[in-house]
Amino acid sequence: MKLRLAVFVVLVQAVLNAQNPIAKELTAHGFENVRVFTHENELYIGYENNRYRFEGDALFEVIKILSTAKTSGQHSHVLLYNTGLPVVYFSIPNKLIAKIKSNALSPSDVKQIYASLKVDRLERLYSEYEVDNSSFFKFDFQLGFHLDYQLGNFDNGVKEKLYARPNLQTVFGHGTQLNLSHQLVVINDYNNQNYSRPYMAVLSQDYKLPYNGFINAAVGFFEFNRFGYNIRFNKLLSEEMMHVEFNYGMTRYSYLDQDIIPIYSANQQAFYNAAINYRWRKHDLDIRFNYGTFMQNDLGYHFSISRQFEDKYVHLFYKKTNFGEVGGFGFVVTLPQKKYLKPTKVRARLADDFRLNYNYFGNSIARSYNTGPSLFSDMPEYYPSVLKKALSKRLLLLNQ
Amino acid sequence: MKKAVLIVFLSLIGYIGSAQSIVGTNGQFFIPTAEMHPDRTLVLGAGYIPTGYFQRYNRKVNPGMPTFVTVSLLPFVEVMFRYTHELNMRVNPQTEYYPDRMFAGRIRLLKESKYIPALAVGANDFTKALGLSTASTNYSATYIVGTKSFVFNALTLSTSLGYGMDVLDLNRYDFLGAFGGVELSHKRFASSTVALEYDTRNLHLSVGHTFFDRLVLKAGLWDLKKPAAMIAYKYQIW
Repeated sequence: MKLRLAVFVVLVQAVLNAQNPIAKELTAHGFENVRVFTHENELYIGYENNRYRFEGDALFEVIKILSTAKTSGQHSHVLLYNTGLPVVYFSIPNKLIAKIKSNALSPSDVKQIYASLKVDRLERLYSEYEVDNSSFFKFDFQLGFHLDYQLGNFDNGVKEKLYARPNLQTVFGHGTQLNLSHQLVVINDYNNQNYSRPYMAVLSQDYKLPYNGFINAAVGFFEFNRFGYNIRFNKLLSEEMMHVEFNYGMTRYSYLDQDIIPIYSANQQAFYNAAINYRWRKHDLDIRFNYGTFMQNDLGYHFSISRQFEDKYVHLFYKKTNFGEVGGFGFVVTLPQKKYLKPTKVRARLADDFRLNYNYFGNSIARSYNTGPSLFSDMPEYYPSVLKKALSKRLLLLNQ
Repeated sequence: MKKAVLIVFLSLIGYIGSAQSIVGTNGQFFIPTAEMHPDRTLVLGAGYIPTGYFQRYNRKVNPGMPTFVTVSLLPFVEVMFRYTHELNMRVNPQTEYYPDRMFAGRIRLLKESKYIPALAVGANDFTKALGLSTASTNYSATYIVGTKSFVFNALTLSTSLGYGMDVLDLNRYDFLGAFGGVELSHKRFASSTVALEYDTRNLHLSVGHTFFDRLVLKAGLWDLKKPAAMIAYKYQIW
């Protein structure tokens, strides 16, 4: 009897959620894991964005939708999700929403928006409601690119190898995702390896712990021909101002060749390192120090300064280990598609970005392999300071 | 009709001045100034330095082409990376030629106010001094520079005065001693400038214009004798 009652309550909630005009609008826009409900006379919205490349653009769209709706109470509340896990919370005064409607917004109004990464209490409230347009078991085909290059050889001043990297990503459940990617050689005057082969095959699980702890566990074929498992723990301190990271991996040299046959070495290798990161929130600038062993079993440190420009990044780095030292700069630039097709069972799109590093001196040391997307690696786009700046810029432009 | 075209043209041109030097950092034609690009600005560009004035090691036989990427990492910090090409040289085992690489950094210590000039310190090729690179030191420099603007009715006169010092103990410095210059712009043509400067060795006269707030073109006479030029694309990253 109790079970029947519970199923009935869930079904009623789902129906009510789907009938809510804001929920309908959000779903029509392609937002996923949508929850819209009223609690103590105030409106609560939850959503996950897989439609817009940058979370700031998605939040702006949600606020625009919210501004067309009838609100009650003092504030409206928005909780953002990633792979079904809650990440950041916004509380927006309804007075401000009214000003958006009447094109009377001022910069001081935007400062009244409250945002926080402390979402544990809210998640308990949100989890009582069913989601609309679930993001699980959808298959995203993403096309990305990668460039290997070498400068300074007198025979050929610039040697390059350009790869196309199609990637299949799917989320099975809260924080559980599978990433399969292949690499195809497009241009190559770098070496004589012209065959295409699987590049990464990773199953990963993200856990969001209380008090902003994050665990990512990944298993499979990682970047740089490493096979094994990797566990990473991150903890945010004082919102995004500081975080620490502990990383442990056990891998061996291995990859899948062009016939998908595993090539491997029997020698296993563990690597572990720890990092501390300070973020100057005013300028979205990260100062990071990482110490420990790295992929080639070298022991040393990695220091970097990185500036975030919404979803683009520029960084300077210096690494020193018992293998030598290396310094240079790098950038992450976005590929030209700000808005993807609506997420459906199967969708094709471009990858989010293109990354390139330049070693000004030294060789590649203190390297770490990529284990695919994770909740914490996506976090900079959800940081309250980043989203508030993005929102402020867009809202003020809208009201000009 | 001509007036309409002129109005449309003037409305399209930007308001950021053409404060971009031929060698990549923020500056007049060649000398650095204490001005900074707006925060988050990315500049990609290339310059042309005429034969006889472009030096690589001890050679002065070809023109030079600095190609650069400059980023305003913070509102008061600018970082520039440059490849300096010697034109008419081929990269091959016979010539053993390869363009020179260089990092440069600048920090603005004071922002310009009504009575106080902007003040900046900068270092070109500082990685060589830190023992982190083995590139040519032809373009090394360590300097301090101040810039103050004066407005006279519709005219803006921007004056810069700097001093380059041998503090990194490198072989050669671009700015060794006192350098300075003046840059003039008119309110109606705020994106256009005329500049005259002394770089511790030569005197340069130049004109510059910024199109659509993005594209900076500069042309001038190096040592008041030979033509030199620069093209750069500016973009404020978001």
